[in-house]
Amino acid sequence: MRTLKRNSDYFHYVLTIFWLIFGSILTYSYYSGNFSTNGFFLTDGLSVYFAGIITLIGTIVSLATPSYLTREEKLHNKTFNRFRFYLYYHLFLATMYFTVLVNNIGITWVAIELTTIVSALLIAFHPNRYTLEAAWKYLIICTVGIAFALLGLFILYRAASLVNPVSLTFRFSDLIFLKDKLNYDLLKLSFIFIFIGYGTKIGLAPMHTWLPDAHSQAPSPISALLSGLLLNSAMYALMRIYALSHPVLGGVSENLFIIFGLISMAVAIPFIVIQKDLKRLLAYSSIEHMGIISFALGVFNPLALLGALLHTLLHSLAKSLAFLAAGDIVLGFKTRNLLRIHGLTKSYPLFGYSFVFLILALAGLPPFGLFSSEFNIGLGASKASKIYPLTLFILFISLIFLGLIYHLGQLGWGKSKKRGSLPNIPYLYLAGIFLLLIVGVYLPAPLVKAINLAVAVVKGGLE
Amino acid sequence: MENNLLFLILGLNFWLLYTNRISRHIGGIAIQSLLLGYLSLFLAISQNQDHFFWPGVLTLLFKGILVPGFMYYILQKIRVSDLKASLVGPKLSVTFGILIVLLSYLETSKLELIAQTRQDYLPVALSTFLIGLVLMVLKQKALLQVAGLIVMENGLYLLAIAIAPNLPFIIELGILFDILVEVIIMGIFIFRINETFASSHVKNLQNLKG
Repeated sequence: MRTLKRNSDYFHYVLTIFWLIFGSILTYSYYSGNFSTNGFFLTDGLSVYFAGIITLIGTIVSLATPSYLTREEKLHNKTFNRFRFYLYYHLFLATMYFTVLVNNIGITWVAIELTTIVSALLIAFHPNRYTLEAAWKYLIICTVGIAFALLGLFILYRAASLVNPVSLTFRFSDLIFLKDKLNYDLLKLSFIFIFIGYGTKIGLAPMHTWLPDAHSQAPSPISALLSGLLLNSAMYALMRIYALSHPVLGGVSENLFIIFGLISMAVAIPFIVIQKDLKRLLAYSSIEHMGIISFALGVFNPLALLGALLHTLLHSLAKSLAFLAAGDIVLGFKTRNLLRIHGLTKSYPLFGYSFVFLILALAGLPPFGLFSSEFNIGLGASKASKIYPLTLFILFISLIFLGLIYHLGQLGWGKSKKRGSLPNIPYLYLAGIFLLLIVGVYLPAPLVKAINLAVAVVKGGLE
Repeated sequence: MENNLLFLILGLNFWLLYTNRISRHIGGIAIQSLLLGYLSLFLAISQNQDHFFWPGVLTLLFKGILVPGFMYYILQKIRVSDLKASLVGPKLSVTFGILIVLLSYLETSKLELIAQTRQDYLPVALSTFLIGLVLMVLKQKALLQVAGLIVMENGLYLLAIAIAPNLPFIIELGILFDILVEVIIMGIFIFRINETFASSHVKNLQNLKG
């Protein structure tokens, strides 16, 4: 049994290194201008940017996973089939890479459906009343949502084949040439269906109901992947459709993004304030951040789009680390009830402060990177003179900030209760906080270049 | 011929709305998928539209035989509770169905641009899709929800025939493959739900809130 466990860990590390090398070669060769393709796979600014995020977050979470599993096994005093866990885990990563790299937008749909299937298996990896409920809701709601997206894709195909009746492929790189000529009515119908469909998977309110359950019941490394990467992959698919539809639809599509973004942020507020479950708190914060990104996409000027893509990266980083840390806390305190987790900074200074800083980063406190992306988005909205939406945006962000600070007071400084064990020196979290701080103080030039390439794609450019 | 097939496909939806027996639902979606595959083959052979051939064959194989067969296998293995299987009674369900069909006919008659090919497929496709959705919402047993999903997918397949006839085959293949995998995974979940709660009634799945 022990050898199997060790061998499974080797298997996991080998695949982790494989993804790291794959992602590094892909991003390096694309950004140095040596490699790009638009055959079956598509590498352009947007897809490589998202593949880079998957590589970064995937590596971080992969590094933290084996020790998490060991502690979980120790806590429950039984062994799991680790090999199966790692198999699903890497399949999940593979489907997400496939989602962002495939060219044909019909196949993108297929890939998104596959991510749902694989991740449902991971959510209910330890089958019990709660995980099964979460996984079943997730499967049913996301499948129905995605079916709407397929309906929209068929209508989009129809709109495209009216322009180009012969030999039409469904490849993004071909469709983008038709973007100005698509029929307005058909495109509007299709965009609404696709927005609802992929919006379900992104977790935009009011289609978000599966999200807090799935993200809170999954094993913590999986929660980190779900919040940090899966939501992004769905957002990526929607951005592609947006790039195709925006030239014709204009304000209609922008308003959908703004309205649903603001609703998502508003819905998250009460649930964050009254939350009693640590992981659900983070899940609702994901809904909020997806709302922010959606809002920024709706504003659609260079500043806001830059903010949106920067926010995607930084939210992924901060949220996946926060979920990993929450996993440590849940295992250490043997509860996820916020009322019973107190005084982290007193009992475990280094770990406690890094968790506090991660939550502050998520709340958007100034020195951290998420503040600068939110600031860019706000600035973009004011330049686009969207005054009322901007007012609501700032109001919601501030309310959520207060809600998180309120919880942080008890989590970090309440009456100290030392229970279980938490990692003494959380290297990963410290490194992550360091990165978040650097980006907040000074945006590195290569990152700006990468984001600008991605923004160009969203704005309907061909490269 | 086409119209008869469409009429039968639409009619089966009402049977599914009316009944709550899982075995009847499995039979219903099997017949509906077989009719759909047959329609596809009919178009391929009689109207020389070759691109409908392989999707038709795969629909017959996957949705007509493999998926219902697997669902029947699950049904044999699990205990089916006698709890109420539907949120509303059969009469109200069928009324919903009629409203959906009327609405679909009204809505699709307005869409003139879509209507360049196969106008009469559109309302059937749309109402099958929506009735599938209603089935998933109303029926409270896990297997019935899977059946509702297949009905939705059948509606989408009809829509693809109607408005996207030259859709690349690889997409059709991907979609069908997805459905097959999805049903298998859902089957595994139904086994586990049944083990954990001693029933596959969705009423048990209401613990997570807030």
